[in-house]
Amino acid sequence: MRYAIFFAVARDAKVEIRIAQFRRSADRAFVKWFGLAAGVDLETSAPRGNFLAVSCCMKDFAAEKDQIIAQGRHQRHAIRICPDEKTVEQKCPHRPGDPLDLYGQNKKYVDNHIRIKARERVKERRDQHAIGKIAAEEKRRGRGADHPDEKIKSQSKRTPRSFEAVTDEPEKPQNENDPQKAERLRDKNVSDESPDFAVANARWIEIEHRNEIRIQAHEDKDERVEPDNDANQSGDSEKTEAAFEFIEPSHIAATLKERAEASRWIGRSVGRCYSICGFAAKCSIEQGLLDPPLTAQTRRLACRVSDGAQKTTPLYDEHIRRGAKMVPFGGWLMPVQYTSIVEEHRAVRKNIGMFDISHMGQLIVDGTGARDWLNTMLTNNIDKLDVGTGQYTFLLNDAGGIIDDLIAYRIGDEKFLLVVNASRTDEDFSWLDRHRANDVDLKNRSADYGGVAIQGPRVVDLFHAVLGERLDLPPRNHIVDLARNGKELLIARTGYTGEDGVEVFFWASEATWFWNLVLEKGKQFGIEPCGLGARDTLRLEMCYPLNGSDLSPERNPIEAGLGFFVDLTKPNFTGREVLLKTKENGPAEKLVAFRMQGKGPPPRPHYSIFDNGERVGEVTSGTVSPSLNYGIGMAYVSASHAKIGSNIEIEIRGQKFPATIEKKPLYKRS
Amino acid sequence: MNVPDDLLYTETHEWVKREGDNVRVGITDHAQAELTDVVYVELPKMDRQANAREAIAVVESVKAASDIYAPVKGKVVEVNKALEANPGLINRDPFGEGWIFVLQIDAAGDLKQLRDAAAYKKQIS
Repeated sequence: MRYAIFFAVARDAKVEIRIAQFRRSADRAFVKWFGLAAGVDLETSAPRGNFLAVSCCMKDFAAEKDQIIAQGRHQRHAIRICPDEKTVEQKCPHRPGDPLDLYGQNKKYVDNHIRIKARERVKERRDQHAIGKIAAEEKRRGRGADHPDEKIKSQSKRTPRSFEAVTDEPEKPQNENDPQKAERLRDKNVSDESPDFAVANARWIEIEHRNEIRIQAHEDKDERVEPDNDANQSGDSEKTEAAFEFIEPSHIAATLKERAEASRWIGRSVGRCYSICGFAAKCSIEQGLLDPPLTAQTRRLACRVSDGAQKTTPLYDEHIRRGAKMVPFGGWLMPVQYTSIVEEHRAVRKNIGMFDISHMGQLIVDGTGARDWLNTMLTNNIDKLDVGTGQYTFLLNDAGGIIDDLIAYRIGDEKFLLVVNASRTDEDFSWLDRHRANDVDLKNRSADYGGVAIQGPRVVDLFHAVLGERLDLPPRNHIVDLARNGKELLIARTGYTGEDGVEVFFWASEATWFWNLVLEKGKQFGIEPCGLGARDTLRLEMCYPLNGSDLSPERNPIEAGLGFFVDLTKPNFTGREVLLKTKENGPAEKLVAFRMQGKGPPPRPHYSIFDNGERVGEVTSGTVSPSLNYGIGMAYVSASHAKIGSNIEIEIRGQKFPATIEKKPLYKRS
Repeated sequence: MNVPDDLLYTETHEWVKREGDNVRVGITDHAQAELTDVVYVELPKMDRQANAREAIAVVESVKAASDIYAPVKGKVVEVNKALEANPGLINRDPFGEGWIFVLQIDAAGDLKQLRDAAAYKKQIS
């Protein structure tokens, strides 16, 4: 019971559908109901393929296809039918009352669902006028949307009822993202209508104004993510085979294809390609996570403000529940530690630790000129990024000073996700917006996302426990968009600890679910929730800079020793001239790593550094390394004293303590 | 949080134990829990004179350095050398092996300025 359809609109705007492993006529019939595009190039690599019937049924959709193609590439969004974990994870045990004949189940859901959408669509158009009236009325009363753009975009997706519900009752947004609504409607209205009716109306599903599609055919009530359990494995022979065959459009970069196939990724549909993979157990066509609709709920969860000024993340309640010590950080109230910085630090080095990084900012850069424009704004070379990969880079001011350090992920041909420091999110946004090119769209989606960093040598084991044995993590610096149970996870193989790990982003409303799921599954691997304290000691052992301490608008990346992330061969980017000069003349001061010699107090920011009585620099970060058990830190010292191995002295409360300048990183994994 | 009844306390989270003409001083269980992971203790110099509320020692955790104040006027007559090798004693046994220094006090009457266990409990609750 496994098959996948990948439907891709790629660079040449050619629509392709590829279908794999349709084993039975019933499966092929299933595809008919999902006839999504017309005149497609239908290919198969399945050994027993017989897809003529499918091909025929898709001919009626020429108009929709043209409409997709006519849209600018940057406007397209990932469309996918998410697999249910039960079909992805082949070893999922059969439980009584949990029918294995998922196909039959699914058929009903799909049928019903298509009808739901068709009806909603008709009703929606009928009521469109009414929505407009409500919106206009709101505006007149000065109660306009917080984000006018977002509101306008999402209006077309909402039924009048849901619109009202969102306005009045933030806790229960009943727009079409609410899967229960689909269920309710199905149960109430359409459960006994014939599938043929569904096919007749199916075309209405697809084309909305921005080509956004969001259907929850079946919300799986059972949210368990089952660890594989061989003992309980069903005897169904199909279950021992691949969950599905991953098929990439041939014109997607070959490297991507290899990587994707090698890692058996189902959801590597970030960005450029639209993919649809249909699975029997549960189908939900999802709009990509990268453009989540701003529901009242996500807004409420993400932007809750406490203590007057400090924002809290969607995981705030979880931190409190677990006894975290909360501190203000970058405008947010964040956990600094749960039990002990040292213990949490060791958990990450030895097993695994999870950090709330929901405070970090997410900016989406989109539009036909996005790539070229970003290359003028950021120091690293964005052209080196394939879709689905990321790079560390800097946003500089005109003097070459560092506004922020960030990771830029290419999530589409001309679409980028920038993950930036919490305290600089607004500044980054306004800087970028001020310099924005006309053909570039810039959005601050920080409030929509929650995020966690899961770091430690056992992260791979943990993810197999959470996501199933068949799914591998993306390679280092890659990002994937994965759907689980109708929920979406953006998983990046990145981190700030020096250990293997991932940073996972999700809708703010799903933060608690994911946090608790990972902690539960991670118990067997010794997972610990970790605070900012451990995050700081871990990153400092690796000599990863912290903006605000080691980086500032008065420092440039060459001085910080991070020239590797600056491509001076690029003809034009902000700050280039200054960096060229710094490189040519050599920086006056350099950011170096040092360690304390002998017993002494830990170094702290702003302590002075001396060499033979002469003040030669200042500490920017310092701590006692929990891994190494001595004081470590980073400091800007004058270039002539920055040689590795040099002896320096650090003045602490009037007394000088010996230290030596060391090679980065200070900690090396054994 | 442990707050022994037989000790006196300061507003700044030191505990004070009367031992004849001397007082033994450390930081409370609450304070060590707040600091966590003490990694360095800077002990006061022997025989130094200290005024009440004068910073005479430093306890450093991974994240922060905290001054430790003399609870009353007096002279430092003993320091806990064990903390130099093993600062974690403050976390493990704040009221016992984690003591920091002993002051010979000038006037026993000064101790009346300090809080009893009930008052300190109220302060940290």
